[in-house]
Amino acid sequence: MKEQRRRLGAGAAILAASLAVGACSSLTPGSSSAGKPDQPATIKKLTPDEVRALGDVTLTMTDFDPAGQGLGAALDKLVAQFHAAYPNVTVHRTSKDFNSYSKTIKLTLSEADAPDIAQANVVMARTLVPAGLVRPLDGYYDAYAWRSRYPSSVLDLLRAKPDGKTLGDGKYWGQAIGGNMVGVYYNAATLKKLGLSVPRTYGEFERDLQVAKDNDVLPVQLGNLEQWPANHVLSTLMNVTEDPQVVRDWIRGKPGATFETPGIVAAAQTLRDWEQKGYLPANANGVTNDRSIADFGAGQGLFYITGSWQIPRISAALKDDGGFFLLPPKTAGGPAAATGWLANPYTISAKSRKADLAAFFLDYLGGPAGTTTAVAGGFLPFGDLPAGFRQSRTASDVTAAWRAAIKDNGLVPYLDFATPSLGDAAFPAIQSVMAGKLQPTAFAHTVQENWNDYHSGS
Amino acid sequence: MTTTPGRDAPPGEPRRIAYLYLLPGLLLTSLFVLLPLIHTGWLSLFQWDGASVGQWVGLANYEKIFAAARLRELFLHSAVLIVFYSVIPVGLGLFITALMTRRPVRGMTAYRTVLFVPQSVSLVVIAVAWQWMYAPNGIVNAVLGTRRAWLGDFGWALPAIGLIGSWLLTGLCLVLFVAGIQKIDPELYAAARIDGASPVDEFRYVTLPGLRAEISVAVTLTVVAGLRSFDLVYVLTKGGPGTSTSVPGLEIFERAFSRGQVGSASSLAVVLTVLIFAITALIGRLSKEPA
Repeated sequence: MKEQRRRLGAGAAILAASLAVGACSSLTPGSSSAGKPDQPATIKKLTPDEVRALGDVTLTMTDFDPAGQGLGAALDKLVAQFHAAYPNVTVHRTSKDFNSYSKTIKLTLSEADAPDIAQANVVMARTLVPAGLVRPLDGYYDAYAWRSRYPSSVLDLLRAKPDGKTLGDGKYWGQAIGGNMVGVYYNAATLKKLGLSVPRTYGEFERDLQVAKDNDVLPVQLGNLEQWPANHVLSTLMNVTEDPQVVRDWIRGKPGATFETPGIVAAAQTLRDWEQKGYLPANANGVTNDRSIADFGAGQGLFYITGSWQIPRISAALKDDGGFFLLPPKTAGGPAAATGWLANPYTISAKSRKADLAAFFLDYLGGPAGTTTAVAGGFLPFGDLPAGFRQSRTASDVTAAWRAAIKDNGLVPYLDFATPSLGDAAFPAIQSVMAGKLQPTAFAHTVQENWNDYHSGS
Repeated sequence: MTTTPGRDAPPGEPRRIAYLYLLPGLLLTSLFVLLPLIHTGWLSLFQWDGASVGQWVGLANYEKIFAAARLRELFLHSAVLIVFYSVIPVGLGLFITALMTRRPVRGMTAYRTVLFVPQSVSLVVIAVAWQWMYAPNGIVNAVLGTRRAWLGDFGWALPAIGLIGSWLLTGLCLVLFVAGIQKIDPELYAAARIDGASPVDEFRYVTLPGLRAEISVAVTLTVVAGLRSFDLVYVLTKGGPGTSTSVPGLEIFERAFSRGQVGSASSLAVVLTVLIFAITALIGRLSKEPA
């Protein structure tokens, strides 16, 4: 009895002590780290001379383009070019892989010595904006005329209401170098062997799938063990079966938008049909994305639906046979539509004391001076390429498709931008749709529930 | 020999000075175990995205957990994993141990080492290696003469992950049991044999009671491993295909770090912790010597 009481006493003491320690910092989570939403409105567009007159300054930036790889290497080159033009400005870059980055960016920007510039995708922005951790960029958008750099379908998602939930309205939170896009890679040699040419309508495309199947060629290569790759196939199909504006409105959180439309359900049904007709590899859900890209490069598969970030691997493997087109519309000559957006927007930290210089640097990255380097690194350019700029066959196909999509204002952002948990809700469900375990209507309903939960504030 | 007990305490009674000896450990435990635990409990009462100011919601996160049918599926998957992580390794470990008590096996140290080696390899490495082996063109299919994508199959993915757990933990159980069996008096076996006990009797009446403590430890460790499983699932399938291999540990991670639902992740973590405590306590109680 006595022993027990003593144990209880000790336990209570520990509890009290820990609570006391906890109480030292403010008890409500986030209250000490959140930034100040109100920033001084005075911004200044620096001139090159003013930048050179600043004396020795260091800008810090953090991103998820690990060094050495395409985008990371391009950024390093851009940073070096900038330093050559402005020797008194040193840009100090740190990067992490995407997974670690997305899980630590909130903490990084909450620090007192947060980096001046931080990369952020839409999902990250949805928490960084309401937390007041990033600076509204509207002043710089005016000063540098950044609006004219992007098509309006892209600009939508760069603006967020203060709660971070509704996009397309409110203040600008980011600026970017270039974009990326999903489309259909094809093996030109196989296409020719089958006696086919690049399809101009969706009907022709489906006919090609059947021709390939009949000739024992895998129509569409896919490895979906990671769950996200099939999402690119689905969203690409949606661009044919549904009006892009409907999907865009849904992603940016327009009140009353819904995922349960006949067009979207039809896209999910098509995915299931492809699976049943043997257009997709039978074990796609059990093969890694990496493996399937390697298989496609080795000649297995007529088509592969994935993003422009695979240009280097596919062009290296298929050489001049690595072609690319956007999934064609139902009627020939219809407007081009594709899943795609900015590759990686950059934000300016709310805590930065060098915001004007940071904006000047961002303007440089996205401006004409950076375009060739950016393209060489795998970004798709918004600006024009210099005459005589050499690209691989694959890259030049992708660039041409990208231009067409921009011209028709046909870019539809990635589905998982819609809510922070959309990927978790939708990607496994897409696997279930493919396996016939979930009906397309039920799938659309599941996804819409996730959207409703997010927008109803629970 | 004279003892110098505390002034008021009779000999044998714990002295206050003992707390001083406990202090370093207590401090570290408080700092790195108890405090985070309490902090998690505290966070579970908020709706918090990890960055902006949290909102007090009381027990609402817990109400949602107990109302969500989806979460029951996760715990069901844990139950399946416990069969693979605990029942099979402990059973297999006991079986091998029983064989060894009958007659000395030549090269036993080598076998023991081989069985224990998986324990010393990083789980991520193990997961990647098994991902290759389970691939449609991997060695598992080559041996079975099939071309199944084990990790992409709604029915097979969970057992496939579970089997890795069995392979991993059998060595641990075996090492525990082999250590335990060395403290059983060999004369007990001799006596049993003189009394005409069959190998089964011998196992049942000598080995099993003698290993009671070790079995309890093995069951506790393996059941906890099954309940908190996360790494294998995270690396191998991310919970897929569909949600057929999703487990509570993965759900907690996703909520806290991907979905910005730190509060609800914390509440699920608290529920899992309480469940693990309860099961551990239950195992401890069941394995006590009958009075």
